[in-house]
Amino acid sequence: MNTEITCFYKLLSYALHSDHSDMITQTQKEQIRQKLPDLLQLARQHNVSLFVYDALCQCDIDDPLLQETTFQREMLFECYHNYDMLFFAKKILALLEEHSVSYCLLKGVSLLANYPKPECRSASDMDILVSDPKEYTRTRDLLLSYGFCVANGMTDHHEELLYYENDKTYLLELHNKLINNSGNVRDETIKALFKQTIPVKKKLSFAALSYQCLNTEQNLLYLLLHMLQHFTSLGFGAKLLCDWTVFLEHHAHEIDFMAFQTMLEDLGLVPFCEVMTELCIRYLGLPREILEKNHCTFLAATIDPALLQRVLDDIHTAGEFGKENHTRVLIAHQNNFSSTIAQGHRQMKIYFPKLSHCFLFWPVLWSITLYRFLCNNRRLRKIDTKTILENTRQRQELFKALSLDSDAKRKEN
Amino acid sequence: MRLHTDYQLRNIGTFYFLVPLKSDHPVIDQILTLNETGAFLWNSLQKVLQKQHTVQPKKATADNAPLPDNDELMQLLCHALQAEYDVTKDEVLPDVKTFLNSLTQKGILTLKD
Repeated sequence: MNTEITCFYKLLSYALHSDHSDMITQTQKEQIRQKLPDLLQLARQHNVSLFVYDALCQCDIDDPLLQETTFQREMLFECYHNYDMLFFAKKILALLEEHSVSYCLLKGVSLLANYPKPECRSASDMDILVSDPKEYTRTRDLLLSYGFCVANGMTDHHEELLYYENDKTYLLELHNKLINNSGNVRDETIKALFKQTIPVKKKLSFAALSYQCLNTEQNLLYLLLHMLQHFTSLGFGAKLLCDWTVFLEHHAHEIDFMAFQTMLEDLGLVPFCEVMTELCIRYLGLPREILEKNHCTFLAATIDPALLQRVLDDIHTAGEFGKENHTRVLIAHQNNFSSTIAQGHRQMKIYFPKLSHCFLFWPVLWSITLYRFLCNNRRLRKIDTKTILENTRQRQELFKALSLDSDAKRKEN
Repeated sequence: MRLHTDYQLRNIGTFYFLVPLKSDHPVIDQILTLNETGAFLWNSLQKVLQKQHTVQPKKATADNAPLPDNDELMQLLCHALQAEYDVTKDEVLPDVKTFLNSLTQKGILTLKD
């Protein structure tokens, strides 16, 4: 692994632990100084700039680059943005509480309590789950009457609502279920596992923020499924690994690992969970002893180092949600022709939501979709289609190595 | 003289912020950005407040606790800065005044008329 990546995860690990058990040595500090511009760029790509910046300052790594006005402004802007999101969340959660809405706050803001400096964790939106259909309509009406407007209609599992205030726009995703239908056999199991989501009341002491969220096991599973959802599409970056690290570290003592293991096995996600956890242990300072002490079941005795490296590379080159990697255009869980066709068909439906209702148009719409795909590769992404296909093939191999293609096998069985 | 208790001093990198985190309806304009000296003065102010609680336990409450009068407060903060940074009173006085002015303008501190 190259120095830049080592330094990047070292800094993140430092930022995630208030006791700074993961010390940074003088040699590492020197390496960090040498790689500073690249590290800051990486932090931007993974949307973890404030963690990295704070760790640099706490380790007394001083550099003229950190004092530059533009950089200082960028960091200051991020700090204000994060406080702004927190205040927005506080206002909306108070509104929901006032109207006795039964909801669950998901990911982002609900994870802040696990971080030593919660305001360093950026969140671009706020996610609220209201699974009961009647309650969902009531909540939606309440938010619309409060001043929200609909940004995008209902997708498979959520609706985007926007709120404007003082020249700022805030995004709220109102979910009616946790995970979108991916069309594989896992969907039904997920549905069953989240059939009952009884909100648990929590309080974020640092901001006196009261909210309702999923219970610990469901929350842990949801974080894993959220990672999986992004991993099998365009990928995800270091921020989601940080979430996994701090959540496990703070909640290990209250997790029923045996029950969780059963869920993992039902979903065929044991290898995926083992690899992600091992990465957090090795690179983000997740203490193995805490997991062992609490009888964590997904600590693999041995994991192929080459596989770990491939997954880390996949995460590392993805940036936040795969935005940094333009070769990740095709998403295919299974390495076969039909899955690629199915994906093209799905894309056609996205491009032509109305026309696609009439199947007679499909051959023409498929052709246009293919033409647009080829043109966009050349003009916008500036990557040839061959590279994209090769990258897709490699990622499919990776999914296979993590047994994420087992849906197909299970279906056949 | 009153000190707002909704505010917390937060530190990210080289920035210090006074953030109304405990407020029920916080707004971004209420945040005050401080430098290292400002952060030191805020901590000194908190210490003065704690001392007041110890000396006058019956008079002081957690919310809106009474503070020493304006001049006394200014003196105490100047002394604290002098002791920490080895500077003269004339050098620190403008900083202390600016700090107290910023707090009063944001409504974090209410000085006696």
